[in-house]
Amino acid sequence: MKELLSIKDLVTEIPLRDTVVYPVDHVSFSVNEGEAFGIVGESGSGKSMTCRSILRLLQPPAHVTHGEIVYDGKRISDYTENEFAAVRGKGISMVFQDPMTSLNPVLRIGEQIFEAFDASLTKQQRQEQAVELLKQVGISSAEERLKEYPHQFSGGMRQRAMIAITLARNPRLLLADEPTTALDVTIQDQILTLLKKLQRERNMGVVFVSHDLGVVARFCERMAVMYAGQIVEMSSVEEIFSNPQHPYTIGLMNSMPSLQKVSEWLVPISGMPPDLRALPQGCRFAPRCPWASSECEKAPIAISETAPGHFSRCLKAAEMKKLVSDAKNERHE
Amino acid sequence: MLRTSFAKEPKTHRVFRRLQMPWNLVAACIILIPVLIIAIFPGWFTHQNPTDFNYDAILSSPSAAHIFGTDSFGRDIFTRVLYATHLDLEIGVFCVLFPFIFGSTMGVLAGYFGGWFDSLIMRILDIVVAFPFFVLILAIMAILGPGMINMFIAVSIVGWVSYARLTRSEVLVSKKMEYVQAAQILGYSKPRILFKHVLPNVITPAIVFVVSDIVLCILLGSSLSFLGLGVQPPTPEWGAMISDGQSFLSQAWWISTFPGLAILLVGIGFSLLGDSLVDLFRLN
Amino acid sequence: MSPNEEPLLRVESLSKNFVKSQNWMDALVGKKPKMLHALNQVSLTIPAGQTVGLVGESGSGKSTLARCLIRLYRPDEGRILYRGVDIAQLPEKQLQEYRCKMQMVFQDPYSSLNPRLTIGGMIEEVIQVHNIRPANERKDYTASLLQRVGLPPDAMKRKPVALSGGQRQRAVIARALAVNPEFLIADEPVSALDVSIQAQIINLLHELQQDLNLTMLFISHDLRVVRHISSKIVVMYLGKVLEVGNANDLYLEPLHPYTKALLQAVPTLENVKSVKEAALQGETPDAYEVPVGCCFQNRCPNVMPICSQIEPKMIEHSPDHFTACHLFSS
Repeated sequence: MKELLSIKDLVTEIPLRDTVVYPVDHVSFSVNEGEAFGIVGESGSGKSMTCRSILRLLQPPAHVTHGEIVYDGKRISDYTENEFAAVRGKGISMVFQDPMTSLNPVLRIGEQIFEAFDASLTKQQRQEQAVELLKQVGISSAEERLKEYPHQFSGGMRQRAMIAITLARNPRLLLADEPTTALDVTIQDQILTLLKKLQRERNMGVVFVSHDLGVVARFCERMAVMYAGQIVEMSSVEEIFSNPQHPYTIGLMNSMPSLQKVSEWLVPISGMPPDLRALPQGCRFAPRCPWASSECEKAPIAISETAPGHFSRCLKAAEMKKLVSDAKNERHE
Repeated sequence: MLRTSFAKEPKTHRVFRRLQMPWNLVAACIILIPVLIIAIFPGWFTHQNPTDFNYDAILSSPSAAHIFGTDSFGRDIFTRVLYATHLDLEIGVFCVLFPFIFGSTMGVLAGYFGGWFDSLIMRILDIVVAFPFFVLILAIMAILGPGMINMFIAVSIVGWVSYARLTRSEVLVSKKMEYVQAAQILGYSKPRILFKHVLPNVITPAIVFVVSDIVLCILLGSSLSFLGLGVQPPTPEWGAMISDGQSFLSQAWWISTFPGLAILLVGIGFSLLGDSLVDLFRLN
Repeated sequence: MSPNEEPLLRVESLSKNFVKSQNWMDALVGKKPKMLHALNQVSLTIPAGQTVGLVGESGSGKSTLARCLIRLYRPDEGRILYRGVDIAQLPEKQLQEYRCKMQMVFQDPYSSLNPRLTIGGMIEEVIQVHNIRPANERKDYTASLLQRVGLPPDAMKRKPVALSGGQRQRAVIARALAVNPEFLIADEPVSALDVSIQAQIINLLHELQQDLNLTMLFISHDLRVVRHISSKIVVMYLGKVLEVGNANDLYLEPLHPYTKALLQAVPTLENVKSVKEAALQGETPDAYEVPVGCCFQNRCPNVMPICSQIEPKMIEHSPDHFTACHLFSS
């Protein structure tokens, strides 16, 4: 598979009143053509910031200070604004979380799709292609729908319209920032099925950001888990769920309620999400980690390949399986 | 080399942000506290009388004896500006007091209870707002006659609607807030919910509006005095003084200019106060 | 629960409509305003001392039901029997004694606390208004409440802006507990929280329910969240109850096609292989027109001709497992 996107050591900083924080702290990953790559994390993990940093959609004073972004073999991180504008929307496109605010409420849906098309198309061609797009995203009565305004669409339909606009320029890479979080379960299911189908048909790469492990499990082939601005674990989805190698990943999986009830008590991760202004010296997850030792708190932990294709930022990754089963046995006693 | 996406924040902003003092408030106090002192004790700053004629020094330009010069009756402009301060501040304050209290109350009640009362208030609002503000004031004063008290009455009749509209729209949003619902579920009485839970959270925009309204009312008072409807001569009032100096603008620019500067200064002071209030009331 | 034991709450044929505001021209002509049928003849029972999970997507009417039970809204039709007393139409004065018996925890931790009150001040107001403790005991009582929900005692002096989402939700729970309620409605209490905090709050609610023998109605759109702590599940769609059953029965053997679709649509770690087809097509229609027959007919994969003619009745299929579907009516 051809590598479509490669991010190396991306750093984004936000200067605050008396300090500087790094919501994206040396993040590296790659996405292949036709592959869905998931990024899982909670609020403050840096997952959304990463997407925005890639597409230069940051709100000042946040800005990228370091790192290399290679898309389709070209170092787009070096591009000028004009050069980058050609990439944004055409090569790499983005779908946002809130369907209420990501569509312009005063423009008709049709107009918003037309805007995305190439200027060289005739009016007729635009109309035809727009109708085709709406059909592809599962909106029936496409011709009439084109003339409607966003407020006349339901949440699920708005998200479909958003996807249609995104696809108008045939992007090869799609960044999806929590695209289904605001939707009902059955609608989320529909949108995920749709996105997967479109991804396969167009051989698109997708970066899928979510806080929901289940959604990422369903949609993605490879994934990364982010915590406090860093990737703490990265591998194929199957590998991560069958053999997690970072306590945060394990903690997330345990604290997630599931349909298969094992016990009436969930196992939450103790403590609170990290404050980027006051990060610990050593491992950032150590304050909440049930297996943290003094070694973990000494110095920052680098990410390393603990198994082929499986990266973890934990010193105890190798013994993780044993530690987990010990903990399970303890709980049952 | 990585090109950054947006310009970095300019250094001056960063420096200001780091010094945590509320510059707005400091500046506002630097202006307004002396103004207040002058308003209460104008005599501390000048020994002359504002209404003393001095035919020897008519239309004399600013000098050591008369810092701001004299007008066509030989009266010292500096003294008159100082003595007018309390009047103009009174105009500013009293013209907003009733509208603020009455208008905010009506707005809160209309927004919270809705129904026929809300419709009634909104219709009255629509009618009042349909007329240009100044025209309405003039019309009312034409009926009531000139003078400061009548001006207060006229402004009160017309001015409360802005506050009502402001608080009403805030209350409509606030009503849906879950802490208001929680108060209802806890069985709190309606007055308690209104005064302790709704009002404090909707009054901030009105308070900010008050501060700029004070400035507007001072200007209004000045305009009315300019037209001869407000304060009657020989009482000094900044607007009236500007009017007096109108015909002398080319020969004796100081007659209109210094009262104008006084209005400007007080206006800036209150604006800064308003800005600092916004910052103060912001919860983070 | 023995069949003779009176449930804490029995809801009978509850209906609630919202009138859509008309523009004055239509009103002048005498056109009837559009009505949103948020609740349509809903009946259910909530046994004492247990947690009932209420599940549904947007437009199902679950939040409206919650607000009718707690009398934030007054239902248009039907009865709400609280220990046998109908509170559906009680005037506010008589409702006061029930205010201390039922309380609610809301979804949005950012709008459920008055931003201008400190946490301590907020709870003391509750204690003061309802005279729960004499003046000299109030501070201690507040401190014990905060401890109960896992907040440090210095949270008393803080305003909501200084608290995180999870901490705010704990404060909301503390406020609800201050009146010693017997019935607690939790309306999507964890939907706005991070995953790792969700588990903490769910555990907290479960623990409180057991320690204080509370009756709890836990509302969520997420079937995974209600799974762990509910003993009974109610599934709602478009203002109607479609299925009711014990948690285990419902999750292992769902009856109604909608319940089946809901369960299938949930993305879990267990079904890692991506599914080709969506669990359910179409969207929830607006509740402005109530269709004749079953409310689910437009989207049901097993729809039959009878579904558009006769509304299915709620029938007990197996012990304690009810559903309203023509597939199961004899």
